[in-house]
Amino acid sequence: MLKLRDLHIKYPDGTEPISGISLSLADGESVALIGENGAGKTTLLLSLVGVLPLSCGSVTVGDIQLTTKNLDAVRERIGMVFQNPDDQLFMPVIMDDVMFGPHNFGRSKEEIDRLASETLKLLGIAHLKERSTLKLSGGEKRLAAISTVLVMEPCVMLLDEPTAFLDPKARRNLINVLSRLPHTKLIATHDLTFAHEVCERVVIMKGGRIAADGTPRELLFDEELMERCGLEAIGKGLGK
Amino acid sequence: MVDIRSKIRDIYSLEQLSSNHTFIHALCPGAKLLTTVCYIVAVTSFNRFALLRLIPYVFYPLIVMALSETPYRIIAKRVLLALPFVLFAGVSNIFFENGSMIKIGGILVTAGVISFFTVIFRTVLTVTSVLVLVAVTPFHSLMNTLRRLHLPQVLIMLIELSYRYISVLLEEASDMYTAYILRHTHTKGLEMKHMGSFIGHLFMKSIDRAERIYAAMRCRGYGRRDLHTCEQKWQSGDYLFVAITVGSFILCRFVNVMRLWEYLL
Repeated sequence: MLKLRDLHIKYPDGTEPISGISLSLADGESVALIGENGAGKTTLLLSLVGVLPLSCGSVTVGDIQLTTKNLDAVRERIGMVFQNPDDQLFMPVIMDDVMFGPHNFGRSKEEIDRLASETLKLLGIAHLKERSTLKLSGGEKRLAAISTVLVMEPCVMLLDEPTAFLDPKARRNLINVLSRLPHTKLIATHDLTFAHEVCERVVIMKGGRIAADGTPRELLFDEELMERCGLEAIGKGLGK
Repeated sequence: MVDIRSKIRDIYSLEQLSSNHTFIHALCPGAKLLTTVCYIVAVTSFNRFALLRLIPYVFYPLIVMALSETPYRIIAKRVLLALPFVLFAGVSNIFFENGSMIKIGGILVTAGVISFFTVIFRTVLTVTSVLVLVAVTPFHSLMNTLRRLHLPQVLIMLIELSYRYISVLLEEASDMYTAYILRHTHTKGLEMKHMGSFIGHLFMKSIDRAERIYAAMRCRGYGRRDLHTCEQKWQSGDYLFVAITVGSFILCRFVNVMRLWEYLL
């Protein structure tokens, strides 16, 4: 579904936050992207939707390759949920925000209404549709941000730190919601237990490269590997 | 800082009203925009001494507010914000136009006073009509209508993004000021010596945040205007609304309704 081949991103000052990433996600697969701060997780996600230009390499979603000319087609297929929901929600009420994407992509009014209602219902936030985005809790904002992307019916969803700013209950609710979604998902996260529960595959990034790729069980409990990548294995320190 | 936060809510409270479901809200944005433009043209076309002839124009915003269930207070608060500017601009009329005109209760009222009140009244009417338009039309629909009228894209984008980013700037300022005050309990406000660095940082942070918001908007198709512009089509109700409102504006413009009323009484 999503193929990244030898991806490089270079900033004008010469730094290379992403250097030579190749990755392939199967249809419906959920992959956690983990790594220390500055490993290049967010940069990678932003490059997949064309927000950051690639220096070289290719991104293919389905049969469409990301180029400057077909950004719209790619963005219709890849939905990105940003780390801070406040960056994503900018309309006066939730319903307007949910309708923003499909409206831009030329869906009919009836279809937009149907999609918006279905999406809000699926995420359990139908009661928030007329609420102002300024009056929501962190968990509600997160679900609203996800709904703004889900409503566009993307094939692939990119989520940047979805559990950031969430309390345990909202986090649990988010895990339940994400586990139910059949989409291909690439989730950048520092929350390893979340990655373990939601994803069937984990990719560890270090210094803009892929350091390891495997199942959560193989990687997340490997103290030596995690230490080497600037991370902490699940369960480490619990005995003390 | 609760104050800044509540101000942000205040800014967008008018827009939140635009998602109501009344007959006025359901009208095509183009019809409402056309009516407002005609209203403004009609009101501003009177000379500066035609104070009484403007009175019939009070009814349009009042009726629309009543039909759309728009709270009068929200509109009035915003109109008051515009008044100081007009007072400042119109006050010179009192001094420079001294020719006497009418006697009210034994007091001679000069042409300057009449024109001063006409300027204020005219501003109140036009500002109210624009605020009512914003309160009954979603902002993005309004912008799309302007786009359909082939207004320069740069101008529309400027209006759209300035409107959206006011809250970003205020939110950033609110957070920074809270953090500042919590570490600086001896003064009530921002100290002058910290002002430069504070404002510099505020702008840098706001630009950064604005970039992220813009990226999030682009990811959801913002900028695909060819499709975005296929909006609501005019229905018979829209034609009827425009015909009635614009017709009455024209009537009030060319017929002295106040004199007619006086004659009938």
